[in-house]
Amino acid sequence: MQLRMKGYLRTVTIALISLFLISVAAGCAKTGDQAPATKGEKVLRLGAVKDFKEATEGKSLIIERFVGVDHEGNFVPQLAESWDISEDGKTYTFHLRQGVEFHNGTAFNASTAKFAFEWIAKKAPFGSYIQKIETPDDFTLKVCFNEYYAPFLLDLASGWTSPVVCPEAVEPAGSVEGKLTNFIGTGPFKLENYEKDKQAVLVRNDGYWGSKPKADKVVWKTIPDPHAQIVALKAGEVDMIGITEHHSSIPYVEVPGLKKAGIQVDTTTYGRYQVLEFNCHKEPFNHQKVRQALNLAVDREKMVKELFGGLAEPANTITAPWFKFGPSNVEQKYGYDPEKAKQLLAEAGWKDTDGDGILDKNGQPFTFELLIPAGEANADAVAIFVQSEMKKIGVEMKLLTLESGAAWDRSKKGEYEMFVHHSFCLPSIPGGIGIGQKYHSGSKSWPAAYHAQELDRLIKKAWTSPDESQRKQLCDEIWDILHEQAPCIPLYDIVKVVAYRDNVSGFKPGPTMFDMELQGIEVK
Amino acid sequence: MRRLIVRRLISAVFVMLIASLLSFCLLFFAPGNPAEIVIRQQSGLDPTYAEIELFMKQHDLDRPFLVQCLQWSYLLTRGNLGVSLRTGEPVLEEFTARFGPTFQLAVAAIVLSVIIGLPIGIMAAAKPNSLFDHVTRIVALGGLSVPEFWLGLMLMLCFSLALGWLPCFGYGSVNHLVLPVVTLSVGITASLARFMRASMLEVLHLEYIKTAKAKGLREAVIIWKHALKNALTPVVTVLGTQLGHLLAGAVIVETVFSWPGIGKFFVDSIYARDYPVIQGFVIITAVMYVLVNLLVDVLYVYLDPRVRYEGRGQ
Amino acid sequence: MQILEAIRENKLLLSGSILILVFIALAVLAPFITLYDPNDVKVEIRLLPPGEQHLMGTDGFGRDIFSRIIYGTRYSLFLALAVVSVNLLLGLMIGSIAGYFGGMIDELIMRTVDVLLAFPNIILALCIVGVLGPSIPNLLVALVALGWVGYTRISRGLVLSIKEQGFIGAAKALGGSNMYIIVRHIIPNAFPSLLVLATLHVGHTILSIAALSFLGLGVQAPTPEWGAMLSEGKQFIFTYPHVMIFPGVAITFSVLSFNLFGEGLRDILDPRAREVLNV
Repeated sequence: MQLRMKGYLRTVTIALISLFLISVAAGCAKTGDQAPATKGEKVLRLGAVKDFKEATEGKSLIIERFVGVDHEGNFVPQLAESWDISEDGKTYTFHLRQGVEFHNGTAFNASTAKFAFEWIAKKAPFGSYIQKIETPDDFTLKVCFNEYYAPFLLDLASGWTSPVVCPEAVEPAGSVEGKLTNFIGTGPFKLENYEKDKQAVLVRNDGYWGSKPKADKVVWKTIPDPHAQIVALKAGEVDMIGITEHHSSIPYVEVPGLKKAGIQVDTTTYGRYQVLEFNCHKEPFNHQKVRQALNLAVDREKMVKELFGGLAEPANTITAPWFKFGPSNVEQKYGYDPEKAKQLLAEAGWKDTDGDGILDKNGQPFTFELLIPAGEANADAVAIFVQSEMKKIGVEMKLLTLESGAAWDRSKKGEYEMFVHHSFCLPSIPGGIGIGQKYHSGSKSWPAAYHAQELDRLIKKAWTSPDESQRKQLCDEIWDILHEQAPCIPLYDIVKVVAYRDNVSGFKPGPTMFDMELQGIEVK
Repeated sequence: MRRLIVRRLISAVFVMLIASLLSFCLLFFAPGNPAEIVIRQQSGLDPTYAEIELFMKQHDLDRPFLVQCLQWSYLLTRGNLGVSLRTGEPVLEEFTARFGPTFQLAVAAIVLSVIIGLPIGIMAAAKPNSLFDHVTRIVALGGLSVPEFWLGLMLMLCFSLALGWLPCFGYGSVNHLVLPVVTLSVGITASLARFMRASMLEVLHLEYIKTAKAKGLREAVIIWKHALKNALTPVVTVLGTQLGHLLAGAVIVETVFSWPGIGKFFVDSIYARDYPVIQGFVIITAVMYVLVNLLVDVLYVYLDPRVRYEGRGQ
Repeated sequence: MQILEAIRENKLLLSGSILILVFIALAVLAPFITLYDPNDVKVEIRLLPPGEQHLMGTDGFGRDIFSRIIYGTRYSLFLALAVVSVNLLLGLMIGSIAGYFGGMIDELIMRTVDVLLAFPNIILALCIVGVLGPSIPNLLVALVALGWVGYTRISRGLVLSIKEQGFIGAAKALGGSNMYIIVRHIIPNAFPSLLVLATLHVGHTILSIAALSFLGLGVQAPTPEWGAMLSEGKQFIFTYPHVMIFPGVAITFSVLSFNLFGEGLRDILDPRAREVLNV
């Protein structure tokens, strides 16, 4: 009996210790694949929030598009060297770049381009407008539309909608309905190795048609937590963070600390504003004066200074004025004027009659709820600041944070009083003034945004004709109406923060939030 | 014994199916649309209505609720858990790709807790009301009282940021393992030590131990050779439960330490309403939970020959 | 008197009770202890380190952390106690019914319990909070939905062993109805053991609430709840750690106080443990 028990104990102990050793060994074995750097090889290590294949931003390093878009919204050539648009805007003729090869050696020409275009059109919003696709010669792609579709080139410039893939990249190969499984493109980098949720290793594409990357390799390390990224950057485990996300993943509060630690910090504006959206179809915000008043009640200068250390710029227009069709000529801009705000509210009938410090009208106190989708960057901080600003003019703002899926569901049904989100920016029509977008009454996602017949008419006119100078004029009119109506409270410009160590030089911000230009980056 | 196993497995299948369908129902009727969330997450832009409709059509999400349920059940009978809406890859593959890190974390945490917790519990029971007993008891209570996520962050603050000894996130070497394992182990060690102590004290009062004492055997011999095996029985149950939970993914620790395990992926899938992944994961984790508990029951029989399951329920 | 005596003798119980009393006192007397309004936003003085003006410093909005922690006691204590009492009562009733009647009812209840136990907690919490919206009552609902199964399982086990004892048979023989026997005999006999468990569970519940709030599924900002404070303070962990340290300490101590109390209670109520103590 005793002997048996002794044996049993020994077995258990040995089993436990070996289990422990196995699991530790499993850990050790994994150390081997930390991107073995050959001597002298220049490796740029990026810290990324998302897994490589889940992020559109990463895909754009490998797979290119027919056209790109610059910072303001002008189209620039990528795989299409140039293009002609017919007078009526229904026919696009793309002249393809010659001498380009996919990473697997397949030539990029009219037939592969046609495949890629058809593959894109299966899922892209413009797909249903296409009449026919032709390839008159080896390097020309002609696309004919049933009717004029204004955002076509914008859609084509989106890395998410329109990656130019090669026939072998999809499964089953060559099928326009196939699933993208192999990351094979024409971009400056090739995918060498990928481990889910851990890392991806990209190597330079020496046959790249454009300026070749200076770094030999790029390692995309998945580090979901932004604070962990910062520690990793400080510890030298990665060289650069913040560049791989379109949104600003580096918390603004960390910036002074990063600078103090000798880290380079770059901020770029992409015209993405954080805005508080009114429900313009319900009391109390169906009243223009009330919306204007609340717009005047927020001290944006103080907000960005106190909350973000002056990193972000306060916003005084609905979207950035420097966009091609942005509000560059609006007269009514938003500032800070609490006295005027109180006066406007009084004009709208809101007065503090019972002396409780909160305005009221017909016996109802001025109380409303701000809906916050959980995870919306800086939203919690901003909400509490705005809450205290509202209190100063006698308006009570309550906060409701919902899990983001649930919050968006409510916004789509118009079940909110005020909703915090960020404005549309490239590569969609900045500011939400396209057909079916936020300020168009046909919008199914924004039933409670500001809509008006006159606005609908202008929007329709602007986006159904290919005449761009007329469009600019119409957009100016649209912006004038919108700024007059104050359909939202624009707060500040959500700048993208990129931080890198001093061994990295030559960083240049990409043209849109989704683009990374890594070619010029050198690593010491 | 065999009857027990068969019965357990059959009821386990039902539990799994119901749990999995229930999770689908709950999420189906919860607000939030997978198409919209997935597109928003991946494109970073507000999806248009056309895009949402297309996505739903392509993934059969526009079918009525019952049809979707049946479709899924049909696939399941062929051993197919479906494809993730978020990544487009088979659910089983998503699972296996992430199970390694979770398994490693779970086993390391359990082993560490056993190595530290059990001896403490045994020694405390050997000398009840001694200084050692009191001190370890208070420490164990303290260990049970610390919020896990906070402890993880504090350890990170101390050992990664202030001292710079250990990496604060990520997966790979033994160094990466230390902080998450320690964070997880604190609570488990504490509860194991307490259970071991209580169970050992109970056994030490049984007749046969008293007889052994009367025979003049040394205390160490009595404890380590005679009492331990019997005292281990309830501890094994606790261990089983803990392991079962850990294998389902230590959500908070995985999130705090950016550990590429299943817990974090699962939570992200819930936020994205990725139904196939959620249902599949519920099934798989339930299977593991049931298997671990079955293993515990079998061990029970081995440890305590008095336990015979035939009599159960009669 | 007996209780006081017991408390004085058992050091765990004594220290636990004192700590709990302190927390209750803090919750009740919060307005008299704190100098600042816990929700008063003053961004000019944000993120001050602990000092004379602000005992524990200020958070990201210039709110006094000390005041917020003191007020937070109210939420954590109240919620945890409410959740545990509901769970205890619900579990005790359902578990007694399952254990006492056995057969189909038992099978049905226990399979439901099995399903819920195999079910990932977070889905349930997410659905309830997602559908109903995050608020204190909904958080309560979620925690009860998660918590009752544990008590049901344990009370069923207890009832099964109580059922076999002679006095139940006697009560039956005397013609007591099933309900009468459950309410008068089974529940009172199962209650003490469950009470110990419940006390230990209060601490556990405080931790769950904090964890849910930390994941954004719990109490809403700007309510000064500890988990929510940690969640808000997480962004400052490396730059202004004091914002995170103090709420964590508060959670730890409140949980510890209930754990000490429960442990002490177990020493007294659990006969075997008492026997051990008397050795």
